[in-house]
Amino acid sequence: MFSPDGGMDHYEKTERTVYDTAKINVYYTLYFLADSSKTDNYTKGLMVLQVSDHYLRFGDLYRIQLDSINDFCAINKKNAKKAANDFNQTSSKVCYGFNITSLVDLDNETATVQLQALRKYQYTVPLPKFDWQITEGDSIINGLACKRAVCRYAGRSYIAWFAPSINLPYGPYLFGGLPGLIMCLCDKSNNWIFTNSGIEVARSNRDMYLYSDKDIIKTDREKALSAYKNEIEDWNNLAVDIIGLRVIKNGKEIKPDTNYPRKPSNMLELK
Amino acid sequence: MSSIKITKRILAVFLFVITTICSYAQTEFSGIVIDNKGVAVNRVTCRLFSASDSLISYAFTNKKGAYILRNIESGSYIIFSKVGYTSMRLAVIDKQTTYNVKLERGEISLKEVIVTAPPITQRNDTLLYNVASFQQKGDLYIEDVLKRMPGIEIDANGGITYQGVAINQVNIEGQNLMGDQYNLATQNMPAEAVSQVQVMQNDQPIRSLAGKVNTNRATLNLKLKRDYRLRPFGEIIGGYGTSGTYDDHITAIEAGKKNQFLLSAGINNQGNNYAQVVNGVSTVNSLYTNEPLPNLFLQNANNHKPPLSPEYYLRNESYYASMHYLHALSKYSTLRINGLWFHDATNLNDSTYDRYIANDTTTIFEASASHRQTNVIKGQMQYELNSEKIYLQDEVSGKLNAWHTDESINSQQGHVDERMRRRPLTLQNIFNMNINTGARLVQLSSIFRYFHAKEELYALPDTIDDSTRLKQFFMRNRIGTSFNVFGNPLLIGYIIEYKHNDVKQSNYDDAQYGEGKSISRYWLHTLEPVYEWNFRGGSMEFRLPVEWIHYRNAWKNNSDSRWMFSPSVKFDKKLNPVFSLSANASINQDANTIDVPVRNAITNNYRTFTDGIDSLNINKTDMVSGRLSYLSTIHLWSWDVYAVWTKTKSDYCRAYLYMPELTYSMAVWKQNKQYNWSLAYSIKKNFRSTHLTISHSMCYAYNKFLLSQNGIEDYVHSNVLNMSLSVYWDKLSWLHYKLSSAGNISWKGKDAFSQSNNALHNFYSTMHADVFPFPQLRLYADCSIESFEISHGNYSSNCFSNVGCEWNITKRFSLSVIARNIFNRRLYEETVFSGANYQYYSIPLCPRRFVVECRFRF
Repeated sequence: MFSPDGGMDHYEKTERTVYDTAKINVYYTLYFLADSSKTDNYTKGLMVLQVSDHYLRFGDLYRIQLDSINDFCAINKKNAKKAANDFNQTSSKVCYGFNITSLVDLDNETATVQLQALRKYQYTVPLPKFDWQITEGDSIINGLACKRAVCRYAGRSYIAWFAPSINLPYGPYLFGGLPGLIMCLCDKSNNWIFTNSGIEVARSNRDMYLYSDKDIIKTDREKALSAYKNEIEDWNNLAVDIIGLRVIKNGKEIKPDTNYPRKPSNMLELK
Repeated sequence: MSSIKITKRILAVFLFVITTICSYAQTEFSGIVIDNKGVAVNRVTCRLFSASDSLISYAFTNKKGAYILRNIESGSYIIFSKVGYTSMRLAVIDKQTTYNVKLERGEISLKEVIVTAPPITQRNDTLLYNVASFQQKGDLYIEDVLKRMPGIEIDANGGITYQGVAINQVNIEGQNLMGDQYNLATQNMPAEAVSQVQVMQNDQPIRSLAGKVNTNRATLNLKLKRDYRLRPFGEIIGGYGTSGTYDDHITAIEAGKKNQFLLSAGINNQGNNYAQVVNGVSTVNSLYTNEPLPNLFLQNANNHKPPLSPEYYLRNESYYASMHYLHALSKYSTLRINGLWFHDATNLNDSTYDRYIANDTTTIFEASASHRQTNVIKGQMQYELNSEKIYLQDEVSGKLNAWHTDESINSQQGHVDERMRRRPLTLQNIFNMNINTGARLVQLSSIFRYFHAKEELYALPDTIDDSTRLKQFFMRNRIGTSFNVFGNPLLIGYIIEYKHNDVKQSNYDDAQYGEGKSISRYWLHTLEPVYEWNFRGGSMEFRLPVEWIHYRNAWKNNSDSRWMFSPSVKFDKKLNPVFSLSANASINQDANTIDVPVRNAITNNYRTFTDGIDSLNINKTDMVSGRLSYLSTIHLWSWDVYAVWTKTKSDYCRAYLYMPELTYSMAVWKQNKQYNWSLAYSIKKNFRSTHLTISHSMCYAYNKFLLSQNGIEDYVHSNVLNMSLSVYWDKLSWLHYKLSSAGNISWKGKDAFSQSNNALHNFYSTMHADVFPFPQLRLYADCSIESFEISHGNYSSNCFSNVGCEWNITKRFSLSVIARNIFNRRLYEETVFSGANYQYYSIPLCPRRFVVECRFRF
């Protein structure tokens, strides 16, 4: 929204379904290559794995904070302007290159994943079974002794370092199933690297929720990943239609040509 | 016997099965884990260790608390653990395979690791683009690289938009050196000098408004490489071609923190008329301080510009030199000076054939040879104070143009020599200030402008010796602020505008016509409330500008006043994730304040005369439009349907009198209505596996307008149907290919002018291919084919083709060879029906040309 004379942003409360309250928060710093051919250009994000007795939620920490500020602004419209700076600051920290939230139902062993590039998609699948092979290797990550394990999942080979001393058989995203918390997870080509940057008994950021707005397209995993890939690779072209990008030429708003070359997509799940 | 044997065998099989089961049972441990309330505990880690504390096997309980540990050989003890429960250790007992466990609830005990959350490298809303990441083969200037950056669009003039919105400005090392001529920097700065392009999204360039006034506009900042920051850099280009053509250019830039300058100069006779250098680009500050300059009275009888690159037909000799200097007076204030000199001399030879349909159909044929000279001098000085407390900007600018045209025209009436001299001068001051009272923001903007134009026309053999002088004073001042109403913004602005016109026509310099003077003025007051209502999945915007104009013509000694209301409503809604709908409705009343009122007829050229408009006239336009869009990102296909209907009412219409020796345009004061509607759709499909993109569009437009000529008056019903198809293929990294084809059919209904439908068919197609056999070498070829139906069933086709190669021999030195118009097309022809009338146009083209270009960067 553009206001030459000092208008205000519009905030809508996020629509969400809260499933549980987190007891433990595990933080991961994420580095990934948006373009696998540019090996020195990592995108960075800060993720949080929220753990309760029945659920695991994995997503962007700053996204949770952004949702919180957004809801404050939506409820307190008069004070929204004061929080606008916080909103902008937090928004700039969200890792939009990995805009994925997952919720694992431990009782029913299912995983629901919400992902968004331009549009929002959601799919639910049985919790993946990881065929971990514990191999030779020791390391210390964040002061914790770690063991090494390898597996193959969704088109990539992964190396995990897990801490047997932390009795959480979980890890970033849907990864888990090791006898200890995964402290570091990376694929063998170092395209995706999750490194533990903290564990705490949850005192804040406790709501474990999924978004429930009507815009979410519920589909199967194959279609959702296909659409996500399309939207990343053809972002510039598709945004013209989805966001309604227009170009001003000779004083008229016109729809630009959509022949941008495709951007690379180096998704976490290749298949 | 046999029964005993059978019994023994059965027994043996039974024993084998039992043994097998027993031996199998001994390879795994199982059991159930419950808590102290007897409830099964899910996700308990069960680890089996050897006597030497090596992990042998592990498993997790399911939601029933059950677990199975396999590969249990040499297992010594099992540890059951889960966060929030007290861990339990059980020793393995020989031959015991079932271990049921009760875990006690306990405190969550974690070896808490200090949370470290380092800041994300992205700073606020600033995106950093590494130029090297986007620069591709063949990209010479920073503009070439900017075009590849996501969200950035650059128009033909060099104006930049980000995410569809014009940017604020382009800074070099944080300083706005170029102002509204930033295109000169982006089009001439070598890409290799720039390390980073910083796109500051939602950037509020005015510090006193930062965090208070949101903007969706971006500012671009060009960060130079370290070795380019401390020394002047640039490039020298020397290009020479066949037939004695040349194209030489030099650019020098120095971008220090305190002082910055850019010098640029060019000289060519290869068809580049440096239009983008002279015109500059429009910037955000022009939102309320932009007013079109008045149209000059003198116009060439044939001012047709073919839809071709001027390089194909222009025989020119153009020079320009520009200087830009910026000095930082303090941390927050700068003084900037920009200057430009431009000269262009062009020779044009073209032919037109016009047929004006009426009872006495008039045909006019003109073959013209003209020499046109343009001289421009413009300068600008700007002071800017951009502190956190106050924003102040004052810009003084001046522009002097001199257009001289000498034209020799052969028509069926004989030979005519025409000479035009036009010298418009513009002086203006633009002032912007923001006052931040804490609780409220008030913005002031103002423009004062003086415009003076002297025009002279001399034509033989019907001796015309005519001169006109226009003096115009214009000012517009605006004050605006906003309020919060029901959680949504209500914006209110007030504008006061004044314009004074003083025209003197030498032809009417006598007592009857008041010495040929036409003096007029108006005051325009505008109150513009805008209310935005945002709701889930959409928004509505209501506008109700109210205007009051007081208009006075001195020669009539009377005045006129009008109220004007222009309500509009805009609606946007996402129906669901794939469908979106938008609609607009507006009633717009708009006073014509651009055309200069004149009491007498105006001489436009040797044969065209126009009645001056001597009264206030208001246009009223009713408009309704709607758009429905669909896009599937799963299947990568989209479609879009758009419809618009408009009705325009004017207070007057034009009646034309076409005669072999003259054209006269009369103003007839009666209501003039015009209707049009159009329907368009477009479809696009992307085939991922083949890297093929196909798009198709079709548009139909209907237009009904009043035409009055040579005594006949009727509504013309014109129709145009346009179709296009484009294919883009980029599967191979060394070859990119694009093909676009389009065609249109135009026709009209039967009317008082003719019973014919005047149907014409046209077709256009362009192809472009880039080939990169080596990293340092780029070969390219393009071809465009145009086919116009000159008259029914008679087509004129043009085919233009260019090929070229660029070879970067060293980092500093490169060589290009270009062949233009390789099929040596010598004539361009086109025709068009404008309502009932027919026009044919032709222009000779420059012959095939080979150009060699050397480029040296320093």
